Amino acid sequence: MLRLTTLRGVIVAVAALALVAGCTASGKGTAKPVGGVFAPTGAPVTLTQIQGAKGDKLPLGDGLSIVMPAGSVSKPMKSKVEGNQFILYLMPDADTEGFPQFQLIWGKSSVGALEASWTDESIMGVNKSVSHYVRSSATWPGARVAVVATWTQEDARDSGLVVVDALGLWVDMPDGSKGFALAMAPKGQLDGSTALDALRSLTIG
Amino acid sequence: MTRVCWRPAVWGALFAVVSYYVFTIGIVIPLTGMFSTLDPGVVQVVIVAALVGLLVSAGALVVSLVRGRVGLERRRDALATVLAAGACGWVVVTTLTVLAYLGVGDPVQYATMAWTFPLWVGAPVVGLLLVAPGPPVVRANRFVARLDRERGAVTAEYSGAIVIAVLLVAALLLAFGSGGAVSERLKYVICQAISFGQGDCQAPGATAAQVDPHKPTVACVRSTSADTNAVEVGVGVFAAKGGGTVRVEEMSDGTFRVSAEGVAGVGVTVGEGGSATVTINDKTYGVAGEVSATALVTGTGGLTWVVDGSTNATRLKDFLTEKRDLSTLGPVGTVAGVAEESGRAMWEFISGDKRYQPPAPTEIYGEAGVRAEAGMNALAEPSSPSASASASVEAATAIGSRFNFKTGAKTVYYTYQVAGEADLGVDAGSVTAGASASGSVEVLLAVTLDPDGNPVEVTATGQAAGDVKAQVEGLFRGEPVGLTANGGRLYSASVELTGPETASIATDLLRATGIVPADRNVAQQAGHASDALDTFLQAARERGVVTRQDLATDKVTPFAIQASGEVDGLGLSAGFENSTTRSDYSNAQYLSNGLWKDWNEC
Repeated sequence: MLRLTTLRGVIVAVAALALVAGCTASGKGTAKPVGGVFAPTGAPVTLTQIQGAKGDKLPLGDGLSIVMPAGSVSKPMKSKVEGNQFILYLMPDADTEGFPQFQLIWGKSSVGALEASWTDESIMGVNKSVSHYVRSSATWPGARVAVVATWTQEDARDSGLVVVDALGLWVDMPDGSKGFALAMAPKGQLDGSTALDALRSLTIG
Repeated sequence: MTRVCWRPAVWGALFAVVSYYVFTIGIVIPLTGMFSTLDPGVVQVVIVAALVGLLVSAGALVVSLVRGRVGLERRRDALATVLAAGACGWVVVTTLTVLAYLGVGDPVQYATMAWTFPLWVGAPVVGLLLVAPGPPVVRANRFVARLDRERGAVTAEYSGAIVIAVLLVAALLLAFGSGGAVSERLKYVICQAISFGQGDCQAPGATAAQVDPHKPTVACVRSTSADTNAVEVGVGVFAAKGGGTVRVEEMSDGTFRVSAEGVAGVGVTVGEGGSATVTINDKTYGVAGEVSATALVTGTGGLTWVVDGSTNATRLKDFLTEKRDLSTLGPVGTVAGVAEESGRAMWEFISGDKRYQPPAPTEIYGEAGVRAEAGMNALAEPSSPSASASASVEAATAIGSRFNFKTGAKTVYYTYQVAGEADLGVDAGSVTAGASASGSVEVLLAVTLDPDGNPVEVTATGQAAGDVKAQVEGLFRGEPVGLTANGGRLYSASVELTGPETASIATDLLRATGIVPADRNVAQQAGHASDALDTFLQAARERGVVTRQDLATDKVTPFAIQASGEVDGLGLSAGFENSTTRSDYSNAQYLSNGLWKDWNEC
């Protein structure tokens, strides 16, 4: 899909620019190559973390924090897994369907980022409402392993067909816990959206 | 008097035979449909009691005839005649049955029929107690007196017996040969009757045990176990301290499923045509010529091998466990691994023994982890202005997938929650008394797709345990069972999507639970979802396969299917059990035409 391709290009370009400018994240980046059966099939990408993002810095516990713009509405969700934390954020510019939207879920899990993202790719592959699914290895400050996936998804609702672009980020954290961040926005609007900025503000440790 | 009075004996035998067939053909067959809805044990008791009652009556008739004819000084004087009547009746029924079986080409159940002989000769003896001893009373009973007249008796008796026998054989052959529902019912009833409810009778609708469409054709998991201290041959799960898990599960068909989860250094490459090779510490096994990078595996996902016999399973398990243990040691393990490889090579050179080569894996699988609960429809508050109608549906959560290298089939696992008794979508009568309205049933849906991505089979699995056992039993039409905290009953219902109707029903369920996009008004989905599940389960009962197994684990906590994919104590066809406990499966049964039958192969 053109827009997602553009988004991925922007991500890479921003990363390259940041590298040249010497302003890459100074955290413990994960440049460890991944391979094997669960390895992402897409070309590696570098999703850059936003340093000093504007908004309210929200400590989430377990060493995680994010920066959310004023007017965001958080909706703690009940996780079926004891001990897992699941928060859904409606962005201040969300439409009537709730997009842009940012979701963050983290906690103890035995499932690593590689396996979880491989499974997600497998599951999404049979979902006929999902298209252009691309899964890539990535780096993220503080994470032992990071994987990024982008896709487009449709949902038939009472108001009509809703189509969103999505970006998911899996991270394996040093303490063994796992996290997943999901940014969604109406088709063609994810790049530069408040949801993606919130995702890129994720800080580990 | 100890000699046999043949005339009373013949009339008694004739009475027993005729009443036997009147009961079985005239009463039991029309009521077969009702019987199929009852407990099989109750049906057997009713049939046996009725037949015993008829035989006792026949015995009493014989004694009465003997008394009327020659008098009865002592009851035992009529014993020989009663025994003769019973034996004659058994011979007639057995002969007719054998002829009927031979006539339709079915195998004769000689052993079962022989087993009924004691009842045929024993039950009439009870009739001795119903007739008091006394002198001959010619007109004590007009009917009995008439039977005892001598004039023309021989011709009439033998002619009547011959006519009745011919009619019975003809009726049996006609009914057996018709191939219709009557034939099915007749076979079932006669089997029940001649075996006094103890035979392996096939219920109507199932022509033979081998072709019962409701009987599972796949192997089941017999047991899994966890033991981190002792290595057991055959069955065992070995939890590594950071190095992964090697699991061995014993299947009912003699195969073993060996799985390696999160074992560092174990990877797999899919080659041309879907063939697979396994790479362990950069050494490739299986199909020659494939090269793969080493997987950076942390869990939970892995590879599964299906191997024949415990010997192969043990060798593979030992191999994987050794690799895991070496990798767990880190750099030391790498050195040890190299040394081990070197040592093995030397031993191979000296002894000429072939080094163990693990076969290519059969399947690869993974779990969704924390990702499972996040998604486009995570917002589940109908009152929210931004929430969609579809968000109010308790949508299925994808928790994992499994891919078979050999068949190209992919199975995706979902959990689907039915909350509260009112939402179960089952009639109140089918829900076991004591059902808790507060409980919610977690149903595991497994959707298998062919290489082209088309769904070919849908399986729903539920576990009767804890607070929700009544709901699950109600859904799957199970029966109440006493359960402990670490015990339960696993129900599974599957439907192959081979016909347009089953495909429609299964697809309806998948749409209602959000697994596949809905083309209906999504506002109706919430109300439709539970109905779709009940409709699917009904279709499984009628046209699919429904099984149940009792299971027990050494874990005290109740079972739960969690979104993480962890399913405590459940094998789930070796799919997503992440438990380190032992699970034993027993009392496997399958549902056939409303009756639970033993699944002996499991």
